Amino acid sequence: MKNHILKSRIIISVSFFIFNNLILANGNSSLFERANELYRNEQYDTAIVLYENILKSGFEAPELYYNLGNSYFKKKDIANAILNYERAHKLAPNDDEINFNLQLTQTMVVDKINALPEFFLFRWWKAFSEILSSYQWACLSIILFIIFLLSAIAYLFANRLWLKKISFWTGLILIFFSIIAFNNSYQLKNSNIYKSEAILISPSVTIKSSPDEKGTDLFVIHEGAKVWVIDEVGDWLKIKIADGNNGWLKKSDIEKI
Amino acid sequence: MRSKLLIILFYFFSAIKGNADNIQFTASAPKVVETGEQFEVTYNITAQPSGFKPPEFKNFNLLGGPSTSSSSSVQIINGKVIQSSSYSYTYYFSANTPGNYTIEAAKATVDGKNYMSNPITIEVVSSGKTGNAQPNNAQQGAKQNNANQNTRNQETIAEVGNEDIFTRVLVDRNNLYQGDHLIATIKLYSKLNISAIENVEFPAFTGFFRQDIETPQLKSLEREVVNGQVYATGVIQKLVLFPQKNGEITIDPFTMQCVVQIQVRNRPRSIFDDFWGPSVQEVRKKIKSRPVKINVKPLPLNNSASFHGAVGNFNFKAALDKNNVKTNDAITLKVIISGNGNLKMIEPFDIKFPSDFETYDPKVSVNISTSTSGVSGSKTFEYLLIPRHSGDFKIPEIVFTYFDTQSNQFKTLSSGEMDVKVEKSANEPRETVISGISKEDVKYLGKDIQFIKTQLPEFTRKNEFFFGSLKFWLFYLVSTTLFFILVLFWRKRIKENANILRVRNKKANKVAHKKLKDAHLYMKDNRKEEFFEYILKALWGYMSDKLSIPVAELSREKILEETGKLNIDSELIKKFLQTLDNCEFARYAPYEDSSQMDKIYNDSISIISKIEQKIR
Repeated sequence: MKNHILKSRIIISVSFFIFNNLILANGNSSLFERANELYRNEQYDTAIVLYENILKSGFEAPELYYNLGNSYFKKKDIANAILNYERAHKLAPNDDEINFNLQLTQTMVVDKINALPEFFLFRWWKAFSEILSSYQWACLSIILFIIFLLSAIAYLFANRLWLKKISFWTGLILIFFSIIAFNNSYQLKNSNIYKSEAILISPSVTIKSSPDEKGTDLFVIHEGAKVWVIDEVGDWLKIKIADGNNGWLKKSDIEKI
Repeated sequence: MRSKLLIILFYFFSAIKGNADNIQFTASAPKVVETGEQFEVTYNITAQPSGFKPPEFKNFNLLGGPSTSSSSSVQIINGKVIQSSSYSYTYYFSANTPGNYTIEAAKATVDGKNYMSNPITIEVVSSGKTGNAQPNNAQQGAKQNNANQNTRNQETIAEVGNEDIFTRVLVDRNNLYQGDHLIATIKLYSKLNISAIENVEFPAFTGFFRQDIETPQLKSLEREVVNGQVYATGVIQKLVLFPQKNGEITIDPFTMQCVVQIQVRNRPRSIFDDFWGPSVQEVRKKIKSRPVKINVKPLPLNNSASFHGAVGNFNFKAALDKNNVKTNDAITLKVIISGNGNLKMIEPFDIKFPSDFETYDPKVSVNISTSTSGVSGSKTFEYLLIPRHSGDFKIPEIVFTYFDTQSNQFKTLSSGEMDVKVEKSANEPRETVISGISKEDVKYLGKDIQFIKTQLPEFTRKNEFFFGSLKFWLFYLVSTTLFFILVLFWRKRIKENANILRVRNKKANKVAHKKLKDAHLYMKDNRKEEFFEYILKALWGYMSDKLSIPVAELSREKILEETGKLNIDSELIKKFLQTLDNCEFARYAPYEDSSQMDKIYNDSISIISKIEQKIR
């Protein structure tokens, strides 16, 4: 009897949770469609407000960031366009449209920062890890793990030698790739949560040598430039740009991706 | 010869007659006179009148006239004879009271036809302040000036007052929009006799785009009243000015030097003075106009892409010379802008022609005249287009936006879309003849971001990731647990199976012996068929139990293979197989021999017991 009550309670709470989420998601869907309509009618300002409202409700989607980026782009707000494209890119690293628009918009940024050449293996590894999104990597990792378990069973109970051999090696390879997928999913999630990358929002920012207004001016970068946050002191952030130079700027000058 | 002469004479007279038809009858008089001043009213007619009737001259005192004079001239230019004659009637009047008076038209009769002259208006001003101000005579003001100086030093050079001669830059308006135009008139006002004008310096007109209006050279001066005084005036230059920036722009002073003649009386007692008339001294006077301030308003904000600074009042026309052509035939698109305004500023239109058209820079022809009404005319852009491929094409509408100075509003004119149908021309290479056709690259016309995503996304909570979520770990946990359960279950099954096999292994000897016993019974009954069947069953069954292989899967080769793995003496197995062979052979042998059965029975027992000793 007691068990029964507990069960029904769980069912109610779970269904309420799902229902609640559904309502919110439904409201967001209609908002999203209305914003798209406005975008088509070239009312970018209002479209931006609606897209931002969805974000304010605590939900996100790569498509949402992408459309928001497009709206900002149409308003010639390059910095915010890049910021939103980058966010979309983080959630869906392998989306062609997002990558295309991001690259196109990056050509309009004032600063030409010569990125330090990365070791080619790192570059390859990064490109490889961005083939799938965090969610997809996680799913892949689980699927590979389950197949690994199956092959382990095959290994344990096979009474033929060749079957044992094959299942042993496939199992080994599968667990290896499952771990890689697990790691990639983890990395992508981390880069999403612990935001070290940021986009410069202020039109022009002078980077200081110390977290102080009186610090020596090191260099000037302009809106839309991508920076990596490496340290934080009060209102000040230590940032690094793609060519390896670093310095301090105010927190309000950048927006984390 | 005679006829030729006649023809010449005929032409001669006909020319005269033709000229006579064009009769002009004009009246002229000064615009402004002072009371008491003598002035002339002259009627001029370009033919000999048979009758002349002057109007009634009210308000004026007729002093004399009419005095008539006539002149005639014959001009022969390139064999064309032009004869002109003129008759004039001159009346001399003086006016008594100030005011505006109109003299009605006079009537003249030429060859029975009546002609009317133009009526004239004369303004009469009182002569009280300046006395006898006449541009053609020496000036009173100068005289007074002179007289003052004469009292001190008779030899001093006469001076000219600023009021006597000055210049002004007159603008038709002080307040206008940027891009609009204003007309500036530089005028000379003088009470003195001017004998020459020197060093005319036009201001720089900074901030303006300046265009001169053709102004006839200053020859005679007209009379005008300024501040109640009669001045002789003349227009030096008329200009059209287009302000180039907004805000207050100042037209710098205009300067020039005039040589004025002033009467001087050096030796007032000389007899000759009166005889030679008053002696005249030439004085150089530099005059300077006052700077003029022009307030230029900026144009209202217009974001339309089709506005490029055209201000004025325009008409817009765009047309193709033909809409239906064959490939490689040229089409001309003519865009004509006509009207009044800053036509020169209008740039060629940036028209996005279909990319299959070969286009050239437009030919621009300008037909502009500058007059007192501003700059007017037309500007024509001719775009030459050559369609290189057949098809139906659309030339997008051409939009022209200008600021209308009459309504102070932006106006947009559009040509509308134009359709061009291009057919394949006959001499275009046929497609079947493929000889080095050059493929064209796809032309990319522009670069833009890709369109937004319209399909509904799956919204997820921010920073909510599948990785690390409960669901994620549950997948691993559940699958691993299932795995272990499966493994344990299977292990157990295997163990159980192994037990069954061991039992069967242990019982194999017993089962075999039981079957052999049965066979023995059949041997006694001499039932050959059943005997051999049981012997075989016993042998196969024993091996099956011993090797844990079902009877159905058992074969001789299998036995050899499996027993080889168990390291059983191959001699023993050979014997076993020999017994099997003998048994099967004997089974189907035609003869019946009980000793044979006996032997097989004993062999079977001995081989089973021997194998039993080896495999435990």
